[in-house]
Amino acid sequence: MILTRLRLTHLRNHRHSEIDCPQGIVLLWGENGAGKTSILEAVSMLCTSRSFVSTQDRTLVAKGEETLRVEGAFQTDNGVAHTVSFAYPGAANRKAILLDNAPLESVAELFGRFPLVTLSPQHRAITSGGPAERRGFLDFVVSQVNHAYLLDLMEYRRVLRHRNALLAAHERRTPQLDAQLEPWDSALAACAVRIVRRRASFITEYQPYFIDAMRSIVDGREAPTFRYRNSAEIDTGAADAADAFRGALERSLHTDVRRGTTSIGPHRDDLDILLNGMDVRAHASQGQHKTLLISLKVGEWFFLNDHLDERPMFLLDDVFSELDDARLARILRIIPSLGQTFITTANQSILQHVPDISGGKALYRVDGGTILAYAEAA
Amino acid sequence: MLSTSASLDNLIAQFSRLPGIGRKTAQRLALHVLKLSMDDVRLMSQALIDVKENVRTCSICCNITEDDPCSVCTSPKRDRRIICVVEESTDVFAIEKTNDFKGLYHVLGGRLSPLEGIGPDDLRIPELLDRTADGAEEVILAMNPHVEGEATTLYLSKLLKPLGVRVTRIARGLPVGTDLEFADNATISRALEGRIAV
Repeated sequence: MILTRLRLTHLRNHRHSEIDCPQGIVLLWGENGAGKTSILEAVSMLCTSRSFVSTQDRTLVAKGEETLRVEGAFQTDNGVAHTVSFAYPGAANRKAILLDNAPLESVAELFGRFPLVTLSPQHRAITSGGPAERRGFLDFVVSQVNHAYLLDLMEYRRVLRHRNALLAAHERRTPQLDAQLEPWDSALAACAVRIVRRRASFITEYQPYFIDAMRSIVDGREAPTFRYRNSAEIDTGAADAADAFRGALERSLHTDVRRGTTSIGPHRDDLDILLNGMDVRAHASQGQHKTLLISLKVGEWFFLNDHLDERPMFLLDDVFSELDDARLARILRIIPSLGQTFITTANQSILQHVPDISGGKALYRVDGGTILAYAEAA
Repeated sequence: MLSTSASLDNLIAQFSRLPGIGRKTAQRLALHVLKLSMDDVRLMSQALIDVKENVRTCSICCNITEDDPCSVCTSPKRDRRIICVVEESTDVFAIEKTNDFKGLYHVLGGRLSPLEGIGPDDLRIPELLDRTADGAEEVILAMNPHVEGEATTLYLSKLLKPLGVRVTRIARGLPVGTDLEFADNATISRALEGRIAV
């Protein structure tokens, strides 16, 4: 999948910007605050229904304007054209997304159709931050390759909110509460087991991609591994896993009623990343964190490329500024093997290092929310 | 506010209170009323009053009716051994249109939804249990296929089974007239789960 043309209206500091995108590399160069990242955000909004920077659509609207609009023309690997448009606020003050001029019934329809991998400073927390960031990474990748997983996740969250509402409405455990919890517990258990099983098999399939990516970026035999931490502490591979999960819910019920929230389940699980057997959160250096994050994302690209019908697009937001020359050179060497790639940088000297590739390279200068053609190389 | 007429503003405000009616639609409706003949407006306002004065809920099945008990509950042609439980009266209309169901109904008046503060006490569950104990042989649970409907189904089945009655639920699967290739994954999974021998 490639983006052929992108148009932004009233997105952050862009009043009206429009660019053509070759199938190879789109380079966006400009000062900090010029509006480079907003262009990548726009691509993300079209492909995934949201920005990777801000979770609140309201904050994306240009100051003094009422409505933002992003429009993109895409082309599949087979040459079929699609259009996606994103407007906020649309009806009922929500975002309105049109795919080929027809409204989406659910944003879930976009997942996996316009595959995208994003690497931005925002993602640092995946290797160094709390468990929510890693669950977010996991859920995002698995949802793109497995639609049923996304539906399970949405159902799980809804059931969980009902269960938590029940817990919050009761001060202590009573037979009435137990009876009312039962149907939600049973729905929660069924979803939880499917989610954790799917995560486990994803981790097994994805790990080699992660290791390969890491080895292409740094020398040495460092092999990162994953360890899934199941908050329910049950064997989800067992035939009676749903019953075991309900047993775990039962054991934590006193605590849950007191706190008014559910303390175990896929929404509390974590994914440890280990390097030489040590948890990277506590033991990795700054340099190792950078390499790990880039490897996770490059691995994600190759994983999605193997598991989807379309080649994913890649967004590299301000990635080069913090790398030493050796790592930079290795990453630049990988770029031609990735799909259509969008790169932002504030460092003009990087521009000459970006390789010429067969898909063509377009260079734009971004300044104060406007995009200027800088040069174009075939 | 249009503010050239207080009466018109008032009518717009009244229409805006209806579900699914936004400010602009309310304005359009109000201006339309202005164009109607006096007789038509009288008919319409009488219809609104009649519906409030004459329609009540059936003391047996809780469906909306003008006569209590309702025509379904009093009909000699209905099979009194089967009770079909639905969330709302609109579900009764939907099933009645098929002409395929000859049993009785029970309208719960909603579904369990702790997020909205709706618990078992807010639904007509005691009435259902009384009716079931009073000679029913089968209770069909026909809740909508979302998580709240599922939870309600599970909750009710726990209460009903000890009464020695056959408890069933309506099937979930592909809508008639739809091709498999256009169905969403969840529907196909459920349809496979609920497959039957031929």
